[in-house]
Amino acid sequence: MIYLNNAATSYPRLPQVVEAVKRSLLAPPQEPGRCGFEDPLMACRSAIAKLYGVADPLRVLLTTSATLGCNQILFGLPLQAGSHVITSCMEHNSVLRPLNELAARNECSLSVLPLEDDGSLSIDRVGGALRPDTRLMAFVHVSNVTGAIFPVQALALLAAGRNVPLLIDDSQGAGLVPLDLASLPGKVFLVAAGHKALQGPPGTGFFIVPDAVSLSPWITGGTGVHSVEDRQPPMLPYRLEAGTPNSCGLAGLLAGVTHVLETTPAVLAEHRRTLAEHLVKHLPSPWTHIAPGATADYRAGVVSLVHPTMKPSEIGLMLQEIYGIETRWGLHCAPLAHRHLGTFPDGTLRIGLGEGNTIEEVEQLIEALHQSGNLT
Amino acid sequence: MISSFIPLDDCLGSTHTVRVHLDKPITKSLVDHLSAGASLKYYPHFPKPFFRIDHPCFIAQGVTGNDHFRITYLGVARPLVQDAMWSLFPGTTARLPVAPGQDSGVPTEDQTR
Repeated sequence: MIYLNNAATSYPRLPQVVEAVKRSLLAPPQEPGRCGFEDPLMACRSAIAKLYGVADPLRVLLTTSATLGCNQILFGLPLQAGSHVITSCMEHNSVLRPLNELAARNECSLSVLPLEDDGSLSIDRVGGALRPDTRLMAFVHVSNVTGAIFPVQALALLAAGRNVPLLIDDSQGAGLVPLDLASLPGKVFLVAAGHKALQGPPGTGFFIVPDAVSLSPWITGGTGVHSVEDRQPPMLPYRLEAGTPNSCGLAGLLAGVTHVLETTPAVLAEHRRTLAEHLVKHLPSPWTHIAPGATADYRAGVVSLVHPTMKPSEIGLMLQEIYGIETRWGLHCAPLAHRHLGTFPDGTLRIGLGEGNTIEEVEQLIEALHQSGNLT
Repeated sequence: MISSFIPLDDCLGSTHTVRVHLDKPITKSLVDHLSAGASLKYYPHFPKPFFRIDHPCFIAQGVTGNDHFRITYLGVARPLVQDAMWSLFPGTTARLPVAPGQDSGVPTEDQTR
């Protein structure tokens, strides 16, 4: 099998990740505060904090997915009737659906901004959408559909200038496109999945908060500590983490993040960029690809392909069944992106390149795309 | 005979996709059998011959030599697809999976009284 669906979940698993999960499962239970052992999660927080330049690892909250992190942020912020939120058409449903739920409850109104003709997000357009009642800006860092990289630094400057919190969905960029949160002004929240380029197991994710008080707890319950409190303990991480954690998964995430820190995001991204550019350069007719913005920055290793007559689902099946090539077809949980790009409702054939892929595998994909895309 | 139906959910909401597992590999004659009364496109030049059958109530796609193929259909057509599968593969007792929110087609206890 040639696995080209790394934008969804990285595969094959790193041996050290597998070993870490196995070791955690075989060890006596280590759930913090519940078993009398040292908190094994702090190392995971610290590794993620290092990745993002966060001084206090307790600002890293561990969860089971980016979606859960998004919900904890969006439902934990003091949004209410009259609150205005700015977001973009490129967001994943992990952001869009909670926002739409809030809007349906009349707890916010939304401005969903399109991209410019060159595929970029215009800071001027975002600035123009700001209103006196804007209470949040929520933007993806790297699009999971096209790999486009949003100008987070400029967004943070803009948000900070208006004292508006900024939520960054870094699920696709984590471990590939560096973000130094310490350098971003204002109140910045970040959320990411653990199972993509960070190489963690599915069922891992995290979010990072600017302080201990900006979010109200959205999930409350057992923490293993401060059990006498009748409400959620006020300090991090307990204020925003409730329930028995996925300790073995997070042990795997620690191994994955450690690998990313040691290898460096720059090296990992360069490999993906090389493969993606090779694919784009040699893409056979009649295929076209959706460029990831004006800068054609392929560091995320995401290449979305479109065929003029064949559906992505059909081509995807052919690649899978004939050539043993695993890709992802469809909307990639980002329906507004496809409406904007003109690829709705069938979506695109997404090639998600990973660190285990080779030029030879991309060559095989190119040949398979040529054969399957030119039926007579 | 069909041994099982495996649902393959994707993010396209309008159709259901199911992998049909058989008790033996797919042959060209089976493809011809499946395409009776339907439109067949057959591509033998691939490393594994690929077929697509546009049946009135479903689309079947796969390669010969495998023990499975994929069918795609609209949710409302599920009973018709079920009947077609049972007709095309006599002796099959497996039932198409029910998608969330989709009527299973199986009478409830109340309905049978």
